[in-house]
Amino acid sequence: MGYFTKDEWMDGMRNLNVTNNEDLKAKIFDMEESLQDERQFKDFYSFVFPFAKTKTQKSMDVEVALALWEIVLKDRYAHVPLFIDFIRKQEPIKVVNKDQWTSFLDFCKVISVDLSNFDPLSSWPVLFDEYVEWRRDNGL
Amino acid sequence: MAMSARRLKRKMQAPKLPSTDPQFDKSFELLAQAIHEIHRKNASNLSYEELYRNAYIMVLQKRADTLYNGVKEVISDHLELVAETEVVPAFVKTTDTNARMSADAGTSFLMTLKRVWNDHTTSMIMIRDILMYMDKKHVKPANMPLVYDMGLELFRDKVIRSQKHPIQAQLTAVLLDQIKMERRGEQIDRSAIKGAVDMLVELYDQDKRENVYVVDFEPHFLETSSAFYLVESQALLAECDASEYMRKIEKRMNEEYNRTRHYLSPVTEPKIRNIVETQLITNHAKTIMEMENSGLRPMLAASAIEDLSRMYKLFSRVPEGLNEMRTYIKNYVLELGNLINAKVDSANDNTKPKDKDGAGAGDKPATTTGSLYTALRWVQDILELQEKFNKIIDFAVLKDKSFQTAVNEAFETFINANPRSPEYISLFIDENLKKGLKGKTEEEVDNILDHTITLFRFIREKDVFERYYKQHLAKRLLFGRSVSDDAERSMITKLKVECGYQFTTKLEGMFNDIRISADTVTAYKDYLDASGIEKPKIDMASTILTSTFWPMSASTSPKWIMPAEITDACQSFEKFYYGRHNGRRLTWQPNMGTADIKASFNTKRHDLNVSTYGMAILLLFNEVPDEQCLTTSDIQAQTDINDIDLRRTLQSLACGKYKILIKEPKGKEVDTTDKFYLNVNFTCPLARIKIQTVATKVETESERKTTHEKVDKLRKHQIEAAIVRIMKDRKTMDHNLLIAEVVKQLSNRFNPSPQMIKKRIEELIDREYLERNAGDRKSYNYLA
Repeated sequence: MGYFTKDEWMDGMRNLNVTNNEDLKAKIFDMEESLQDERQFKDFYSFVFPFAKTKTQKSMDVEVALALWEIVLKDRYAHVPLFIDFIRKQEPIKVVNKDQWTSFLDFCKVISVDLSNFDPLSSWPVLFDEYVEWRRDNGL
Repeated sequence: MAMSARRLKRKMQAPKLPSTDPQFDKSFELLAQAIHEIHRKNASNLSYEELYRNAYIMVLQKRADTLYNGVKEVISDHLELVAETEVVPAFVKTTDTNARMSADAGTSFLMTLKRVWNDHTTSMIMIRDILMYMDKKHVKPANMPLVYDMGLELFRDKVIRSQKHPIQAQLTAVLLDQIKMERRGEQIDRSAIKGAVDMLVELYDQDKRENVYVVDFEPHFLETSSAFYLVESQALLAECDASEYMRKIEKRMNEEYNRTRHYLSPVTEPKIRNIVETQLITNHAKTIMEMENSGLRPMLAASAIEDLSRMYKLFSRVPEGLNEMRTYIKNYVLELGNLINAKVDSANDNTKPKDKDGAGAGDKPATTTGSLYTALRWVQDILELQEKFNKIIDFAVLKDKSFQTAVNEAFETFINANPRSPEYISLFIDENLKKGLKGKTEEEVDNILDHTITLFRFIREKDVFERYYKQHLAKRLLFGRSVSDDAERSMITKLKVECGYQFTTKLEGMFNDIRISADTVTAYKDYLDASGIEKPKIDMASTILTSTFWPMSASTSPKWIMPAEITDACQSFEKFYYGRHNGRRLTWQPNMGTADIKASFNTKRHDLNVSTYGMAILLLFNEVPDEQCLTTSDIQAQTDINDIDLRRTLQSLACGKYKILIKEPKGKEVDTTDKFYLNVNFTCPLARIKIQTVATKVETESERKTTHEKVDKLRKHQIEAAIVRIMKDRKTMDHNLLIAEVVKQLSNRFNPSPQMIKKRIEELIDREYLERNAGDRKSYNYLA
């Protein structure tokens, strides 16, 4: 799991003009607001993967990925709980690679929850094809 | 008409003309009389010059109009008279109930009409001649109908289309009646009809811009014909089978064609043909094809070329006609093909191993012979099916390409529906390249191979075929089972033509290895002679296989414990070989060799030819006293041969035709605790005996799975290689285009699904050969 060194933490706080808890509390609201901007959010989302995965591995453990998706994408996209459910029940993978992580955000943005605009011949990672199939097979 | 200067004898009443010109009246009177005489066929008494002159003068005196109208009136009156007094009396009486009588009456009417017409046209020619000057100087410039044409119009209006008498209706009715009779098979007078038709054709209708035949008669003809053929089709369907029905159609079509040629107008030909085609063919094509015992299916089953040919010709006349026929044939082929496949399934279900005590003299395990037979039978059945339909396509449907394509599609479908088809086809070729071809001429051999190539073309998974072909070829080459080197090479050439040289370089490599090995062995012998090194006790001929060509690889070579007796020989050869080829590594393949063993039994000595494994096992018995035995596990321990091959070899030595070993307990199945004794009392009339083990057989289900796993692995590599190759070239490419290009490049080996390709793309993204295009999710960039 990712971490910050003390120096990194101190530098970061200084850059945000935060010196105490009250400041930090206030800043958090600002930061959450800033995530409403799509570009900011995308940067943030891309940051999470290399940050949170085990440094020695190329890909991220699936459990970590699921937890992170829940935190990071919670309430933004309806696909998220369904997708997590799919991974847990079907267990198609043990790790999540960078491509799958990055593509998932795009997938959530582009593909409607009812999967009506999903084209199986398009270039989504195979994992997402399997997700769609699972949902359709189970009438979800 | 004979011209003389004799004066007219009789005078007739001349029509009263509004005139202020007695001179004109007199001249006109003359002419009118002349016309009457002409009508009465008394023209010989007339003077052409005088009449001509009269007319001439009248024109000069600017009385042409009056002349014209006057003449018109004369002729008109005459025709009305003719209609009433000659044509109407000739009408067919409706009281004639006798068909023959009414037919004759009809003919009679037509002939009367014809006569009247002929008379009229003859008269008109004469009248025209007289009035030629008027035609030229007055009529033509004024754009009025010329005299002759005016005569035709009058005939049309006063006779044919007479308002006073139903001549038109009568004529049409008679004509249609005659035709109806002829269609029923009765004789009619065709020339009479032709006369009437010619007449109608010559008469013109300005308003409709067509001749009277087309305007007045033809529509009725077509209508009644349509009705007739509607009924006819029902009648024929009720009483004829498909073959007969079609022959009748042909007959009718010829009949109608004849009709238009001989007495109707040629313009009717396409229209009546259309009607016949629609009523007899279009509306019933499906019914004909589906007739229970005589339709398309029985025709195909019996290869009834003549009937099929007729059907093809007839159906090709109507739009969409051939589509149904083609689809029908395609489905029939599919059906037959599926039956052939089903035979395989049921045969394989029946060849599960039987009871354990099946051992008898000389029978191989039933499964082996059974399934090889099934495989060969499958190929043979398909070749026969192909031959059958080739004949049909060549002779019945005139090599129609669309039919050929449809049949090919059917073949491709059911051949690939059998997952073992690549194996079976390779086995068939194998069978023909070893035993089957003996005694056949080179031409026959070539023929069989050509046919097999056509089947090969249908296989989608050509890479699977390649794998089997290599395995079978390896066995043929290594055990010297090819009947003819030429035939082998010919086959490879044919495969090269189909698939390109990549397919066949390895096969050719195998051939080269055999050849080079022979040279190497000779060189080895020379070397031993020349160097004076002690020759090893065992005489050994090695075949050196370049591992990339052959279907075995060094890493998967089966292990074994080399018997001490041959270690010397092997090492000696190895030393020689390494001396010549530094950097190469040799791995002995114990599953591929043979050995000749001199065995002393109680009665006689025999030369045994056994597999290398067999040799290893038999040599063990040199150390074992006669009364003692070795168990399977003993043998396993001392030779380290793998389980499957061990059992197979033991079976060949103890359970086959020649029992070199005695097995306890008896029976085909070899258990770990079974005991084996050397059969010291073995006898056989032959001095030299060959113990077969490695016959080519059909793979077991688990072997097949293994083969397919290997092929799948190879395919993954090939897909990735293709992707990288393409992306390196294009640098950037859209997802769907990339998939299409990959499929295209691999199409002559196998057919990768888009999913498979997608997985490989993702793999390559993960390994950073490619990346997704940042701006456009749907395309990829090549990463150098």
